[in-house]
Formats: sequence, C-alpha cells, structure tokens
Amino acid sequence: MHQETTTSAGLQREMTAVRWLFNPFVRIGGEQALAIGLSVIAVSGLVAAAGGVHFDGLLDFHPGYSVSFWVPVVEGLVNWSVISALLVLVSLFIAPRTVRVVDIAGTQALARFPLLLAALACVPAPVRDGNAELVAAAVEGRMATPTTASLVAGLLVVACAIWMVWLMWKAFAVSCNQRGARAVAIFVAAVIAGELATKFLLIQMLGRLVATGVQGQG
Amino acid sequence: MAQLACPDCGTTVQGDYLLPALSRLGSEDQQFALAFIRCSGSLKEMARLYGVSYPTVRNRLDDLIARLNRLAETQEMEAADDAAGARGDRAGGATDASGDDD
Repeated sequence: MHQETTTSAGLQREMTAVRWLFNPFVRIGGEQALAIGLSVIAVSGLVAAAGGVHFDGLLDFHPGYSVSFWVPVVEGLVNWSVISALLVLVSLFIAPRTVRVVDIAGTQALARFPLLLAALACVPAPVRDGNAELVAAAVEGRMATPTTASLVAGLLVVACAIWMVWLMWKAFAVSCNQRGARAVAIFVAAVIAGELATKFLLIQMLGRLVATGVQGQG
Repeated sequence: MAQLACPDCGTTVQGDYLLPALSRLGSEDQQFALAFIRCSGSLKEMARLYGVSYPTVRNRLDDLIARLNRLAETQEMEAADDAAGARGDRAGGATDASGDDD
C-alpha cells in the first residue's frame, strides 16, 4: 500500500492514495502549494465561521461559538504565518542554504487542509447546536451530555488534528530536507513555540473575548 | 580497480587505479547527475521532467552532493594510505639494499 516505485534517477515516485493523503509534498511544493494552501486556509475559515468554530491557536479547534466570518480566516492566516516564520528561522540554522521560503510557507499552508474537513464536520445543524449547548453549559457551570452528532464530529476533528500535525511534519521534512530524531525534536519544539506565539498574538490582535470565542459574534 | 583494457587493440594494463567519484556512484545517482546536466542544472526543469515538486528534486541533489563529498573524503584517505604504503615500501627496499652491503 505504501510502496515506492522508483523508475528513474531515484526520483519519479508513484503517487498512491496513501502518499497523496500523507505526503503530497513529494508532488506539490513551492508556489503551487502556497496558492492551494492559502485558498484552503481562507475556505476553512469561512466554513469554520458557518460551523461556529474558532482556530484560536496553531493546533486549536474550538467549536460551539458564534463567530464573525472573518475571525477564523484571520486566525488561520496568523497560525500559518507564525509556524512558517518559525520554521524559516529554524531552517537558517539546521537546513542547507538551498531551502526556499516559498517551499516552507507553501507546504505549511497546504498541511492545514484537514482543518477544512474538520470544520465541515461542525456545520450540520445537529452538530452545531450540540456544540453550542456544550459551550453554553460550560459557561453556566452546569453539566451537559454531548449529543451523538457532537461525539462523532469530535472524533473526526481529533483525527483531522492528528492528520494535520503529520502533514505539518512532512511539510517541514520535505521543504527543509530533514529526517531523523533530531529533526522530530526540533519540529516538536517549533510547534510548541508556535502554539504559544499564536495564542499570544491572537489575544493581542483580536482581543481576549473574541480569541476565546465567548463574544466573537457577528 | 586492478586492470584497464582497450577493446580495440586488446592492450591490457594492470595496476592499482582509483575510479573517479562519479563512477563510484550507484546507477540511479549517475542517472540523476546526467539528467541534471541535460537540464542545464535547472531544478525546476528537473521537477517538471520527473513530475515531482521542486524541494523533492533539491533534496535529492543535496543528498547526492553529501554522498559525493563522502566519496571524495574516502578517496583522499585511500590515496593517502597508498602514498604512505609506497613510502614504506621504498624505505623497506632501501633498508634491504643497505642490508645487502653487510
């Protein structure tokens, strides 16, 4: 299933479905990845707004709120910009000089594709209403049982989040020619730094209430 | 390599020869190097030719450069060892010659 068919010069690889899903960067990089990735971030933001979802952090996905259409779009762009900038910075120290910024930024943008599917899962009314009820209950300090629709959507969101982190790693590995345990450690450190930085930036930019989604209505 | 032969005249020369670094590469590496030259060194053209992304080709080239550097280092060490061996042989020969005088 995950076989590599090398036909010439160790380069031409057969693109299996698994490879398209888990490492599309073998085929798509640079400006092409950037164009597709930015479109994905914009559409994901709009879908997230329709599903009442905040992207208030690099790895954050918080459904159950009422948000303005532009808020998740801006959050998505901030998240992407921060992790791209961090990885560009990291690449200056660990990667060959031949690394291009457009490859890092483009592949990181494309790696956020799973968020689009996760946001789509939160759009149906039963899921959206169920998530809103859970958030309202939490704010009011009472217990609420998640609906089946919310649970199923929640599982899908978790799967998509894991998939996105995997894609972010492969994007880093391909765009900076990195492999091995040291590269994984550096990537994990960059993601943690990115999570902290995006949280801080989004709170500064959008205000504490909007960033946490409680009053980000529009 | 121990022997060189001419297919036309049949002349055979024996010795201890070092192959050039490019010849020591595997066939896929050699194919890549040839394709790279044919594409005038354009990684974008290579990416188009093989239907892969630019960073994939660039990573392949970076890996090949690293392999060539390792080969060059190995070759330098082998050459240094050979030179040291030859010096040792000459010194041994001189000792033998002086021993013959006794």
